[in-house]
Amino acid sequence: MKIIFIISWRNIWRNPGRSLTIIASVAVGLWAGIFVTSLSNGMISQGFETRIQNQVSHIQIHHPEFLRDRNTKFDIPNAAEVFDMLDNKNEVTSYTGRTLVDGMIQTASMTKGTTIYGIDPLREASTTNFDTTIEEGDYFESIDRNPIVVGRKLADKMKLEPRSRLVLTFQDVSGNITAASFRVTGIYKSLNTMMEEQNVYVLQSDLSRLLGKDSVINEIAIITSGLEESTFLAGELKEKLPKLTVREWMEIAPDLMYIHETGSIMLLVIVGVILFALAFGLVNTMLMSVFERTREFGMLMSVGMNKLKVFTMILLETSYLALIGAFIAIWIGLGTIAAFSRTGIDLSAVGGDSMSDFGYDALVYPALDDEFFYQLIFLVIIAAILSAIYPAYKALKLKPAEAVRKE
Amino acid sequence: MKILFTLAWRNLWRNKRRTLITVASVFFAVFLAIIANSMEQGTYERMIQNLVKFSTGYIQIQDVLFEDEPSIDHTMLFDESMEALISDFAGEIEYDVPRLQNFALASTPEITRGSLIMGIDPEKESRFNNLKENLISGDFIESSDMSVMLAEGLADILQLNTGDTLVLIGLGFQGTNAAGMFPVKGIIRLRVPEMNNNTVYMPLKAAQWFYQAEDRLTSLILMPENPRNTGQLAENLRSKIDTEWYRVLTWEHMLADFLRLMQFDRGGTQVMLSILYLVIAFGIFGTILTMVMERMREFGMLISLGMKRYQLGIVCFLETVLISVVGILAGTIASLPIAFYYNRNPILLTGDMAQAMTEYGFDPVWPFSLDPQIFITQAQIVLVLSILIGLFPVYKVFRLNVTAASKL
Repeated sequence: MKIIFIISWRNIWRNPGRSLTIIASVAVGLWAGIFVTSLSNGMISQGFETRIQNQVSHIQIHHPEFLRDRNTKFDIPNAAEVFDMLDNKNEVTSYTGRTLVDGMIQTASMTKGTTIYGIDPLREASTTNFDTTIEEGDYFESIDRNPIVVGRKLADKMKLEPRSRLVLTFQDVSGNITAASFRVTGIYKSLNTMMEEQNVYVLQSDLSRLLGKDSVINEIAIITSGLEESTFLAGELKEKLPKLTVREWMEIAPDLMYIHETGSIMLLVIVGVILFALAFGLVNTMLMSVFERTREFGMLMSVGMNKLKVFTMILLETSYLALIGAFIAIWIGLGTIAAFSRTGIDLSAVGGDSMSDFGYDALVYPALDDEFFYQLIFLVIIAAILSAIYPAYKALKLKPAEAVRKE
Repeated sequence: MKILFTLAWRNLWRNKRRTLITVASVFFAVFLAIIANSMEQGTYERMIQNLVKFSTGYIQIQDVLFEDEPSIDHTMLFDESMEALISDFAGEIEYDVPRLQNFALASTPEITRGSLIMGIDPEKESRFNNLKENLISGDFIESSDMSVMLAEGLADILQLNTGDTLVLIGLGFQGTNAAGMFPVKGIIRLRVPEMNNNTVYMPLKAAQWFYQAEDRLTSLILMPENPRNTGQLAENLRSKIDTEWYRVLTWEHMLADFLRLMQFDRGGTQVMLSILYLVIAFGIFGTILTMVMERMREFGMLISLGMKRYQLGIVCFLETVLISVVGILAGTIASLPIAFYYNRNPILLTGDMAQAMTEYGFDPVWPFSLDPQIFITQAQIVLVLSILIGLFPVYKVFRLNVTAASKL
């Protein structure tokens, strides 16, 4: 059996030009495939991470009614109890409670609808890294009375800058309309420009005072140490807090689940299409090499090489060609990914601001799991076997006596 | 020349199987590229059409400062002189849609909610986006009414029904206070959840009264008779209008962000397809390479017999190009009926993807595009590739050493 490996190996080097062409085509095609795949994978997983870490969190808890009708009066009555519970859970990395009020934001010349978030600055910072998104001004430091953090887009539209004054109008817990003056302490930048325009952040203590109730918590956001931990904790919380709605990230943002699930399949489809195109070249190369060697096959079979061995030989030749190409591609591919994974690739020249409207960062870090490469090698072997079948079939159909006489 | 062509064609079929496999690879690439492009472009065309037809319109006239700072103070004056100016273009404009939109607090005795007030001309608005079809209870407002229509979600939140009264409080033109009570005349269902939860429709006159902004609009949407002439019409309007106060915007400008994102997304597909074409080009090259190597002796003979090198070169070149042309034709012919079918019967999406699209305000469908440019582009790409590859045998023929080749 060992001898067939050697024969096949030597056979592919009998026409180096042709073999190198097909190897090069496999190498270049797959390398390009790997690189593009690593980019889109990087983009998808970055987008996923950002959405979870900065926006959605792993788990959110609300009053069931609040989700239907975003009215501040539907708060979490036993918030302190829930906090205690979360403090004692190993899975929890960080959590924060928020007060949510829909209201109106007013400057001297302009009025807009807005969502007011009453936050605990320290907890918010450790849960969503909100403090790191401040682009201008500071994070609740310079203004003592009623500080507010607004988004870049809103600031541009309403001509706000740090220390600008604005008025928030909303309904308090007893149903009265209340208005209060706030001063901009900082301006945040978000990957989601819609949020940047809609959401403003104030201190929970200020908002509670204006709402006329000690502590109003409408939303608890939890970051866990991982996706599995999140599912585990969500199950436990659902059981222990039957009167509240506990939702995991995929329930909060179904599109995230879609990205999470289809992302890796899409990558394999991309590589599959490339391999299919490569298979044409493989079939053609092998077919030519089989027809050139008609006489030789006749001879080999006449001197006693059985059909299984002929088939194995052709299969091995095809696999060599495909696998050499694939290993070169993986090797260079890993190199390119490593080279760019530190610096990242800036796609803002092509994508522009529009990428961030849909929650993507323009600086993409290419990345691929090891698992992808195993799947890739598996697919390459499948492609090699499939491309070997037709040429091998042609070789097996030869009649030794006739084939030997062939010119 | 004709004989050279015949020769090339016959040469191709000397090894039928090899030629067919190479043709099949070109076919596969062209077919896949056409389907992918057709689907993507069709989906985007539909999205753009949706956006233009239901939200921005083809052309908008606004106050110069409005886009930068969309405040009620930056509304445009729509007086007789403006109306006269628009009517000068009556032949080119199918209809116009005036709007006055701004925020206000919508209240009932118990609940208060920030909301978007849309002051509209009921007839024109409905002609623009079929708003009337979305009425789910009560009656559609009329231009002389002093009543409002609520979006379904907002009505639900405020717990209001037709016949109830809504209190609106906001900031009017140039710092005045805007306040008013309006009966709810109808409830309307809007597709985008966010809009459905915060929109209040009001007749234009009522909105102008409420905001104390008589004769003022935030924007005037113009729908041209022929959408293709949008750019020209916008240019003509700009030359007539007082540009110190008014600004004419086209949909390309208003949707610039979206168009950029679209281009980015399509760039991704183009990269994928270029890889595919690269692989196919290697395949064609492999075939041509073997074909040339096999026939070195034949080439030497033909040249010895008196065939000119350039003639032989042309034959080899034609062979390469013919393989691609056959592949292109086959790919195009095979993809046409599919593109045509899905153009008429778009793919309906379901599940998370459909939900995500609806939330962004789009129909969850994937129609295919029949833009001839898609088909032409693929043909061009493959032709250019095969012309480049075809230069290789030509080079070989000219470099051929006749004596050495005859001895092969």
